[in-house]
Amino acid sequence: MNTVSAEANGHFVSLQSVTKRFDDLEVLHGIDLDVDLHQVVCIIGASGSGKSTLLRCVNLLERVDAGTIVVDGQKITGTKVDVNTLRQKIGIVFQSYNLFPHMTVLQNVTLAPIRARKLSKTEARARARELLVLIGLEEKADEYPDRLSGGQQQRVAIARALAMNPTLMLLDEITSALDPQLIGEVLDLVRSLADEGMTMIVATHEMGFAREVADKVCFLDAGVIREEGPPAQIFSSPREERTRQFLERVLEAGRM
Amino acid sequence: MRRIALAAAALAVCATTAVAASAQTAAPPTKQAGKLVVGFDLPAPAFWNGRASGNTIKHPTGFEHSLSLDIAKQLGISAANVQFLRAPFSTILLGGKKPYDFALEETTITPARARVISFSSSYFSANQGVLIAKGTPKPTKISDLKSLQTCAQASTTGLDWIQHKLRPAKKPHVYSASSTAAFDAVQAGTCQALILDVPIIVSQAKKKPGAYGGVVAQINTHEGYGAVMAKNSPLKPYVSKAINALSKNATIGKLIFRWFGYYPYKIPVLKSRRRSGVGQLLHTFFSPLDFLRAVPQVWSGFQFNIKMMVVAEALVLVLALLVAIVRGLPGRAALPFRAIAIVYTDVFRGTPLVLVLFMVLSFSTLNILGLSSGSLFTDGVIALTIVYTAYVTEVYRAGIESVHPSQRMAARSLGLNYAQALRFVVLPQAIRRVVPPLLNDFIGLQKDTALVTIIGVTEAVAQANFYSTDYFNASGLTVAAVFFIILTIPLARFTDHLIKEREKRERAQLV
Ligand SMILES: Nc1ncnc2c1ncn2[C@@H]1O[C@H](COP(=O)(O)OP(=O)(O)OP(=O)(O)O)[C@@H](O)[C@H]1O
Ligand SMILES: [Mg+2]
Repeated sequence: MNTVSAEANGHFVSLQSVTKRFDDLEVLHGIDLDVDLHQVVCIIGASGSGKSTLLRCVNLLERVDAGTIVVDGQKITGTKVDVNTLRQKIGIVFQSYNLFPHMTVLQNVTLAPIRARKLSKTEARARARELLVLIGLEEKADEYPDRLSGGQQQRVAIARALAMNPTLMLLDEITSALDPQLIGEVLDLVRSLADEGMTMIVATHEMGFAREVADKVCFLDAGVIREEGPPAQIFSSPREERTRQFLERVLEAGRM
Repeated sequence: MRRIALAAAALAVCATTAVAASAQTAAPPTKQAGKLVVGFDLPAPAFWNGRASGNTIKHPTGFEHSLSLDIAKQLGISAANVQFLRAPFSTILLGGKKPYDFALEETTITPARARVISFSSSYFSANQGVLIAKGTPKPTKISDLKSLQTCAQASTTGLDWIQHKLRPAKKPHVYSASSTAAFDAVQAGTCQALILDVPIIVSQAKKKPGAYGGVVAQINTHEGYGAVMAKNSPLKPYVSKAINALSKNATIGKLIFRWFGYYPYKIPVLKSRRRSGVGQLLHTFFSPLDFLRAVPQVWSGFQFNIKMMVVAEALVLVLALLVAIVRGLPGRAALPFRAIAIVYTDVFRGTPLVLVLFMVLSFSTLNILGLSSGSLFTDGVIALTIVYTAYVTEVYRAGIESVHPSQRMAARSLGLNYAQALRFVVLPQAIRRVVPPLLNDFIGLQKDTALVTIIGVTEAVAQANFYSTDYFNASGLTVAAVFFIILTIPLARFTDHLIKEREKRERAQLV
């Protein structure tokens, strides 16, 4: 336990010198990132800077080429890691929802608890209904995803991840595919998760949201973390020239 | 040009003389060289007269007796060397060896029978005669009979002909029991035309001269009696040649006159109106009578097609899914399995089903590795399954690949393992998508059950073919076609329906 804690320096999630390469293209160049329990860390950065790749590495959907990742005291970048058990503790939500179109909302939410966590159907359904109440979609339990709006689908995707009782949530630009008027309902949900103390790493283009919810903001630029700090500091007085340029461009695009 | 023609003529002459020479020198291949054993059965008045004694005959006379002696003479065998052996009619149609060289037992030549035994060429035509009542106008063509009141004896060729071929305006009178009642009706004039075997009518007309309007015509049934031999008997060409010679030199005609009292060529043969090209076509493929008659026969075979189809389709559904899953397995460890699956699909998608059928048959008959299915039906199902599993594997694979990788990723990210992600997320979507192409392949499979006929399963096409050769009418083939179409149409419509539904759904999603 001591050695493990030493590796993570007491942080709940700790990335050390994480490098990820796709064939010849090195996408992440030695990323160091720490996230404490109940912290919300927002990752901002231009398209293609490696935000999604970073999150996917934490969930082991991608294997890192070098460096270590420790989550909740467990080094997950080693060879003898049970990815299925690990992923049950780490929820991830994608930009494109990825709901299962052949299943109802309720079936989407209960699939993994029943099959992976081996909960009984009754237990899984009861928990799923609680979550549907939380996301405000209890009356849509028996609908199929293609009958829901984008915002509703994304909320179901969040509920689906929460159903596994994860200790860490990874949110990858979960509002990017949504119409502006639907973004609010999804962000409200994330905000309430943060309020309840969920540990989250959030890749986002919503700077206003990041400023409001994040405990820490990291600016990812071409595969390195160029600058990190509390949102007030990053957004008001960025130290790095690259960060300033990025924020200006975002401002021009009207996303702040 | 001229030289070539001369050379050809010379060659032809050489060839014919060579054949003639060899035919003359070689003794006919009878069971015992120089002797001839002729099969007969009693009673057969006028064909065989005499007294049965054990399994031979005392004081034989009659048409077929005389004919057998004449054939012997043609074969270079003297009458003293001809023996007669009683062979009950019930046994002569069976396959296998025969205790006689040939049997003369008024046996009608039919293709069905010719599959089991050999026939010589016909020595007696089984034509039907027309006996008319006094005062009835003499028919000169078949249609003249249509307006007459016809009659026949029950369950005779004559009645069959009236009902199925002539189809007269008035229902024929049918007399059961004996022919006497029918003859009386003609004499009384209640029946204007009686249709019955020529020899019977002729002998009756001779018995009662002046009672009838006369034996005015005969109807060609295209059926004749042939000498019966064991299947593929080497004697067959010799007997046929002898009969043809006897027929040509009028010996047979004289024998018929001697034993039956008429010369066949003297009774005019009634001709039917010649069918036009289209009429001929319609009759050959769409004759209603043949259609009805062929239905039960073809149906008996079609049941095999249905059984093969059901069993093969069930197997294909499961096996193809397994092969498709193996083809998609990730990782280096699965490489050999993937390779086997790829080789299998490539090989059997490229090999014609006919070839696979023969291979399975050979495998089965040679009992390789002790693996013999023991039935042609099973061999057919195995071949169909092997080939169609290869096709359907590709269908499944296309379906699996059409499911966006993000679906599998989403499932894995929730902690489901590879098999669970496949089973609960990827396959249900994949299978839904492949139903239409899969049904299309099954339509192909249903039709290809017909190919199994070539390894000897008597399924619908085989039965249809039997019917055609037995009755000289291709309507049986039409029946088989109709069966296959009836089986296919619902599936084809259902497939179309599914495709339309999918399009509608996809369009709805785009909006
Ligand atoms: N599976 C892959 N194979 C090869 N290259 C990849 C793969 N996934 C991502 N990349 C590349 O890695 C780089 C980073 O991609 P990533 O998706 O992490 O960026 P991002 O910051 O999430 O961008 P966005 O804001 O557009 O989502 C890009 O250049 C991308 O083309
Ligand atoms: Mg991304």
